[in-house]
Amino acid sequence: MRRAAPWVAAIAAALLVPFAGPGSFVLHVLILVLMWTTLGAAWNVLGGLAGQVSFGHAALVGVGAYTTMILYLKLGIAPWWGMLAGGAAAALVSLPIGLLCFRLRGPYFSLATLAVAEIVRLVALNFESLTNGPVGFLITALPPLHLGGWAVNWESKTPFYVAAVLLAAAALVSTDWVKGSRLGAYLVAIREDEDAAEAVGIDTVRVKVITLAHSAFLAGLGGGFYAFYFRYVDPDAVCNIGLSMEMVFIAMVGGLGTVGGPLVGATFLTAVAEVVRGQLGLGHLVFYGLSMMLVIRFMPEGIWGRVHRLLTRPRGAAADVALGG
Amino acid sequence: MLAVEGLEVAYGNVTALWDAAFDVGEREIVALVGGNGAGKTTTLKTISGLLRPRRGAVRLDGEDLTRLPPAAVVARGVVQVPEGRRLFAEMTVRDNLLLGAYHRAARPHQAERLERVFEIFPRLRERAGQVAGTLSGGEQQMVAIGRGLMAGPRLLMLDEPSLGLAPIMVEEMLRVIEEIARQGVTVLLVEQNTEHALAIAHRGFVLESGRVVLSGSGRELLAHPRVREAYLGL
Repeated sequence: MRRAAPWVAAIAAALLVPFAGPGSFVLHVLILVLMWTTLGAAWNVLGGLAGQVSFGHAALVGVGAYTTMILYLKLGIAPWWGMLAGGAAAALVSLPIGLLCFRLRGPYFSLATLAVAEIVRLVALNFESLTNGPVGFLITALPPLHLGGWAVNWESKTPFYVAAVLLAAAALVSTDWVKGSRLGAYLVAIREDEDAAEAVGIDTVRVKVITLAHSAFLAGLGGGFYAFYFRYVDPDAVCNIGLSMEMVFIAMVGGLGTVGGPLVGATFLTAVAEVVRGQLGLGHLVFYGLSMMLVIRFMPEGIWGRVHRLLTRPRGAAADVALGG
Repeated sequence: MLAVEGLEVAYGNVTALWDAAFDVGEREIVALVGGNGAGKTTTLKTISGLLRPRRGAVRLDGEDLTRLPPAAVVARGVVQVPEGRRLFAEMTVRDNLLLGAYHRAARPHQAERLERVFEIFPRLRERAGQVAGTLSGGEQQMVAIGRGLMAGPRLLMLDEPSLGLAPIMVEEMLRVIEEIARQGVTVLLVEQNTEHALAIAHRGFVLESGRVVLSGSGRELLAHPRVREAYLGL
């Protein structure tokens, strides 16, 4: 991460929003945007920075969501700890997945991730003693939490909003940090030419596995947040292919491999999806598909990518990749 | 230093190398020549660990490299400069070069090696901040070789370094290869440009349909009737 100050300012500003007294609907939409930002950023780390297109990230979201639920409902561990455990569990699960799937490249890798996601969905559906099968999990009451002698009110949206801001910040800041690091340069090398990356001696499988674990951790966090916020998880909610696709859409529409892209993509798609759903009564996925086509055709670098390019000098984008001494 | 023994490599059912064998001595320039599809690139990829042989072995000072992943082969000082340059086109020349010094053992030497590469290729110093994809073909080949040198190789394997270059750049490239060898790096040179490769090589091996059919000093091979007829068109 090159500049800490703008991040601190942006996060602080975001945390002040509830004090402006927005209605609970506005906060709800903001929470959704931030949750999708986290999920889009999770996908973007692997798909955007490393160029490894996964169609199965819902599996990792699912692992995070189920971990949070199971820890709370079976062991009584509060969901805010459960989210972190969910991230860790997803990262752990991603290791064997990575070692297996990264033997394949390009479209074959993508298809393998699709298959893995289906396996996870079927496990969630059929391993009833652990997952409750198709019934899923429901949190009826969240445990009390006291912060500095002040009891958190779970009926309000504000605590969820704060959590969502912190998650999205973790996702975007870590993306920024990786981009400016040595690891980020290896990822660009792998994305641009995997054979050449191997020829210079980059242990491509290791680098990709590390990046998948990073991506999985964020996806698991997002999944844990989903469980925490919506209080209901079943295989259709967190393990379906639609969720995997939405993560891809957000990263692509926002701008592949950019730091701010997922935030822009999530804002754009969530806001418009809410409008489309409310005003036109159309399936929002139709709209996602359309905007994806338009972006790929006219703005392959995504909304944020285009804006960023217009704001910087033509060579600025490439100069972003710094290796350090 | 490097010994290739009875190498048999196949892509699925198609065998590209049959019983290929040759050796490279310390501080030599060895040329591997032959026509299209003779198995030259396959040989290099197998040495680099990008392909696994069906039979045979690649030994570096006696150690078998054939089961090692590419990164481990590079860490032992065997570095391939791939055909067609394969630069990271969106990165600057400097970043491309720095990526060559990836493995742990090479990192402390980054600055010093970068300086050496700039001495060998002064043009790259001028172009250090430029995006690699915007360089001319010859300059890109310099970056590719420079990137290989950044790893601090004992054995540098060059795959068709003269491919697609203007004649004057080909001459320059040959001069540079000789210079690199003089500095103590062993060179294994794969070329379709038989005449040029054999002219600077201490020894050469001619591959045909996956087998080594001729070997000798560069000069001997250049004078060999079969080479003259088949590859030099004389």
